[in-house]
Amino acid sequence: MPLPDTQAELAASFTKFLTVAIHQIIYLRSVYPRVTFLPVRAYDFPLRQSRHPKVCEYIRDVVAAVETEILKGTVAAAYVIVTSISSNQPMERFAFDLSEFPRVAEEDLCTTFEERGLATALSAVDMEAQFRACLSRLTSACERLAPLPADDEFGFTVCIEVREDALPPAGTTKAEANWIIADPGRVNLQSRSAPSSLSKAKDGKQQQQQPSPRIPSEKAKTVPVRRVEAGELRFEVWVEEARQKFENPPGS
Amino acid sequence: MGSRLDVNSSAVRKQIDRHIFDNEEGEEYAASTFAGFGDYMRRKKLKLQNLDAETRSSSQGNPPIFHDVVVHVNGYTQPSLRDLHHLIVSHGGGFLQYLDGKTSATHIVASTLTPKKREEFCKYRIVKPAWVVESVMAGRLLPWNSFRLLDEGHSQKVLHFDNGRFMGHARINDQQSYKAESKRSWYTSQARDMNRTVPETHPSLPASTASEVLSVDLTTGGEMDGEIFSPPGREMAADGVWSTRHQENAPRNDVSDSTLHVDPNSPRATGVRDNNNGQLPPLLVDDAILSKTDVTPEEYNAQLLCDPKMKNSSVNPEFLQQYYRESRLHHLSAWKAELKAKLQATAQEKSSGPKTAMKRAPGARRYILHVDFDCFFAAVSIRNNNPELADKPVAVAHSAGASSEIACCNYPARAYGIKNGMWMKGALQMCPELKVLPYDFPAYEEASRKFYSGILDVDGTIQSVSIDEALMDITMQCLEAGGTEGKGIIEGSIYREQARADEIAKDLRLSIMDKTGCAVSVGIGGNILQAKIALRKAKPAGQFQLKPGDVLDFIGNLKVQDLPGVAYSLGAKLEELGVQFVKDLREISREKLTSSLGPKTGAKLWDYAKGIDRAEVGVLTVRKSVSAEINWGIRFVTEGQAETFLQSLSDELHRRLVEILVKGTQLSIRIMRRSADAPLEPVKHLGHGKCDVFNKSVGLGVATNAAETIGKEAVSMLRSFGFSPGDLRGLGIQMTKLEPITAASTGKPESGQRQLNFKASPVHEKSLPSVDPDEVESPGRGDDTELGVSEPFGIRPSLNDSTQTPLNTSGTQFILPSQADPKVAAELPVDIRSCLVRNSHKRSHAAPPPSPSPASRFRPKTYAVELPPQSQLDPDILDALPDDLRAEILAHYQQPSEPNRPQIHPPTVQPRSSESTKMKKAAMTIKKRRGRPPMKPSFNSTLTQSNFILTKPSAVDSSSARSSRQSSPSAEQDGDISADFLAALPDDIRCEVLGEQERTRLQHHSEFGDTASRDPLESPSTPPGQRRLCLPPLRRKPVFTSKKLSTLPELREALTDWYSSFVDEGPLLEDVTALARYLKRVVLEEKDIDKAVSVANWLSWLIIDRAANSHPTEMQEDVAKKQGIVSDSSDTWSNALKAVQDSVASAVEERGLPPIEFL
Repeated sequence: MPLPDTQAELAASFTKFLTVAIHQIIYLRSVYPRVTFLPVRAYDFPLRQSRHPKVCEYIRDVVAAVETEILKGTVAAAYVIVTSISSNQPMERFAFDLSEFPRVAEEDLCTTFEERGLATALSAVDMEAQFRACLSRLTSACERLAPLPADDEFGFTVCIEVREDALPPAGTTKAEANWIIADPGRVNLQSRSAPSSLSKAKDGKQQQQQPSPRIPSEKAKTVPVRRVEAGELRFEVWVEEARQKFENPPGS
Repeated sequence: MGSRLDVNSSAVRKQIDRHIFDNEEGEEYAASTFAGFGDYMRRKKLKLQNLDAETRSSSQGNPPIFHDVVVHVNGYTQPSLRDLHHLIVSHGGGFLQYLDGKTSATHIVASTLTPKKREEFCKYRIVKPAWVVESVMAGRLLPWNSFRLLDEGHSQKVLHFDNGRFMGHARINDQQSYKAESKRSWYTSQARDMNRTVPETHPSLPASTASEVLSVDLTTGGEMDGEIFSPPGREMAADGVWSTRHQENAPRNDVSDSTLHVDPNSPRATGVRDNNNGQLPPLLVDDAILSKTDVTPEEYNAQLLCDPKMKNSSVNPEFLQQYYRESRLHHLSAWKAELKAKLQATAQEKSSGPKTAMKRAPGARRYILHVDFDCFFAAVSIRNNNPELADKPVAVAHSAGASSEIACCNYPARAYGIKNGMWMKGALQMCPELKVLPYDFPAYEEASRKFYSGILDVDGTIQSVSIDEALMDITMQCLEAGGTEGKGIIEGSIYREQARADEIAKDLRLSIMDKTGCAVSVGIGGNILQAKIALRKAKPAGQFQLKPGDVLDFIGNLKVQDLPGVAYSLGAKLEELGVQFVKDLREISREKLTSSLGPKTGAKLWDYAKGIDRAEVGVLTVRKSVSAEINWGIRFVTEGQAETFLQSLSDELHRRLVEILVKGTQLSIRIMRRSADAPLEPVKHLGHGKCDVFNKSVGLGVATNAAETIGKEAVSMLRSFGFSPGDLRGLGIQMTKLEPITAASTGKPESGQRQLNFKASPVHEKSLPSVDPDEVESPGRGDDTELGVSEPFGIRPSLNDSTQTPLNTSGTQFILPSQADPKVAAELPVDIRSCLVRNSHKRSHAAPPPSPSPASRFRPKTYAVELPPQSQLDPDILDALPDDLRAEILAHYQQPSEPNRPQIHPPTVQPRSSESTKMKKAAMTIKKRRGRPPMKPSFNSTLTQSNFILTKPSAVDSSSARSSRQSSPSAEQDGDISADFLAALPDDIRCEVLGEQERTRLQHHSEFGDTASRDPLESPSTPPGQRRLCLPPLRRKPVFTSKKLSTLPELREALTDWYSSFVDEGPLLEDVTALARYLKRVVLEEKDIDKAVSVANWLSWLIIDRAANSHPTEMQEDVAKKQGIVSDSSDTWSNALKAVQDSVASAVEERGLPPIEFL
């Protein structure tokens, strides 16, 4: 199997990876009870997959919606956001920066890309290796995050960030209504323009975290995961912690 | 003798003889040693022989008939092992409990042997227990041959002769079951003897008398040649120990050929035809016969057939016709088949119309009607004959006799609890005033015809389910009413659709009521399943629409047995799974369902539970088998009758095969045999009662439908079962693996030879009548093709259909040549000429070049005359032309002769083979409205068309300039487009040309180095003929130092080198800034935070590592001297690290992310 060399294949490869990553993320962050996950392998890498049909279906739907947006060429980034159920505040954000995806007109979705003549020809195996490495780094990155408050429950959402020049995806037709424009006051999506998610709050309240072997700093931070580069498939993954994660002391 | 068998066994014999048992003092009574199993066994055998010796000595009175015999008994026998043992030993024989080797015993006694042992023992003396018993009875050693269990080469058929007459192949009846063995066995006969008054036969009765007895028995038994079918109970009448003997002798004594042979044609069997239509008082016969307990089935059947009223049996040669004439089921099924064929014909008629061309969107709403008569037979019978009975309980049945089945009953009767398929006896008990009406097939047929005519009036796909019910797909009409495609929802559309469906159903019911006078019910649903379920609620005489929202609830509350296709057996299985209602079914996983019910049924039920039914209305299933089977009235006396019957069944099958024009290659037979415990006469008169069913099939190799072949195969299969003819209760033959008969061979059934199928030659096909009637009539057609003028019309058959052929709109009946001599054209009348011109226009549209190239769109519309070579141009004419035109023409002539043109695809260049091609291309480029200027290409003039396309992968694309730089290094030529030429162009084209030229030049200048390095890689790797999408070039990755480092390992290595070389004096500031700047670019431009962070972390590792390892030693060695420097350098290094980290952090912040945490 060669590397994805059309926009459609590119989108398919990425969304497949995104599906796998979402399952792994909600496992790693214990969004759902860990017993509901089964050990599976994807890209020849041991992972967990949720076995709850509704969860699976939701992820499938979400990823399909992301794919349609990618095919439209409007997506700059996709985010998996872990939110607190009690406060409805974002806690962590897993970012997939897709701004380097090629933009292709609709009629050319299945047109093969011109080869770039890169020095090293990559194969699908290399792409899988990239994915594998990324997933592996994702696991270790999660270890470096501050633990989520123990007494709260969490949900997750998937957001996309559209390119500057693109129209917002929400539209009048039903298919387009899958995306809800977020209330900027509540969820900070536009990190570029919304500094509230930035923890410049070194002055923020210092909370008592339960002692853990490696005490994480108690400010929000970015944990880089990995950049994936395989032919035209180029994206970067990182995790951000939101300031709100540290604002609500576990007790309150 | 003198064989190994004798040697070994006599050794054993002698050993036994020699052995003397005195007391229990012998060696064998000592304790055995540890692990001495061999010794133990030897002693055990010795002890057993001691026992035998004692028995032998204690029974001196018996004649030592088994003196030379050593016997081993294998398996279950009657008499038992113990008894046999005693019999043998007490008569002087030797007995082996353990068979050390097959040769150590002279005889092996067994009733049956496993197939393996059969093989192993087939060369030894295997005798039946009867040999021992009878020898003892006879007081002498009987020859073992007559008691052999295995026949040497028993697997071979043995020819049988009877009175010098060849009787055919017969198989020695050597495979007795234990049951058979026990029936005629020692104990049984002894037990029977107790009850018998007949005096015990004398044990020493000579064998000759015995055979006389046997023949008498057989004669009274009325056997013809039924030895093959010798039933187990047949020898019941025989006495005592002789029974076994009979069994052995019987095959050789085919005595009773003549006695009770029932001739199928004899008056007794045929009987007088009874006008009373099969109403028999059968119980009388039964009682009479059953009182005689031990009759064979053949005897029973013979007696049954003796009954003069008994004409309804399979022995009657007329039976089959009679059966099919009167069988209700057969009548209905034949009728249904006819209806199906009719509907198929109508459906085909309809589908040729334009309406069905409309395609249904997948997942669209559907509207299916299930129309069904209410109590069809009863309603029609009542209306036709007895309108006054309408409110009374009425049933339709063969007769009012107790044993006739109710085919149909009306609703008043159902109120009494009477159901279809019930026996009249039970029904009359429930409702004594039940009125029974006879069948009235003509009326049913009439009603059905009206019913279907009413249904066919409604527009939609129709599928006949049976004569009185049909499925209809009226989706189209409903969707029209709703005004949607069936997918989206416009306000009220669903309501309108449903209302329309109801309306159609109502009209249908009224029209059928009008036509037939009987009520029908209609169920409406989104698929066949839903329609069927809705119908149940609709009955009687109503209609019900199952709306999509209610489906799940409605179906969920049904019992599983209410689902179509689920009845007792499936229902019972489901009950085991704990399913009673359909909603319970939804709780079960699909896997469990498929594993317990089978993949198809399971999946179907799983879908059904959710109201899903994938079946389509009107989808015709291909017939896979044809069969003829009769399970009623099968009573034979002789094998001959059974075979004759089978032959006539084959004739029937043949008839059916021919009817639907098929042959088959596989023949299956299905035999119902009376179960061993079933009574001779079942409850239902002449029915089959409780039966064991046997199937067998044979491949015929060649597809056939010949009655003789089928009959022969069927008979041999029947014979191979070896059933007693009297026990047969049902026979059926079925042909599968059907092949259609080709038209040629329809007349003569089959030749028995395979025929090679040659494909019809294309010539033949071409000679078929053309679709276009105009063309056939056209006198000009022949000329047209001969001239070979218009390739798409004349030669290619695929284009030769009505849609492609230009319609003769202008009224001339001549097919116009598409390339007409202009002179001739000028002479033509105006109308024809206009036609001609239009034609040539059309042609240039109709035959586009096969590639989707954008260039092809710009082919000239007016056809260009090929340019003559330049030398032949008349300078005068050239002069006379307007300036611009002349420039254009001259430009064309210039191009091809241009020297030193770089050739990009040398192998594919068409060399100067045809001047005309070049000219043509040149002419074409001129007319191009957009795209490249004609000057540029070098390709245009010499390349073949496909290459031409290839080298311009995205001429329409806005980024075409960029791509063109890759394939055309001819920027220089682009530069010098003659001003003349440009001036000659129209304004808009000129702008385009200039614009493109500019872009190309810019491209070359800005990215020249890049292009140069890439080109050699790219151009050869482009596969031909496919359009490629050119992506914008990648942003170049930021690189570090002059070595252009980019990957993490490289960077780490560089850092390590850097650090180790500057470890003491500290880093240079510019290096640090360079690194910091690079890492910032990595974050911002390359977008790889991870890499930047890793590099920074690597640096911090290096510093920490150094501090941890080398610091202490240095501290000790050069405390005073180096202290300052070291701390200095480590300070500068940590400052450097800080700078790098800050740089990365600021970059991350610039991207709007929370800060990074470094090591």
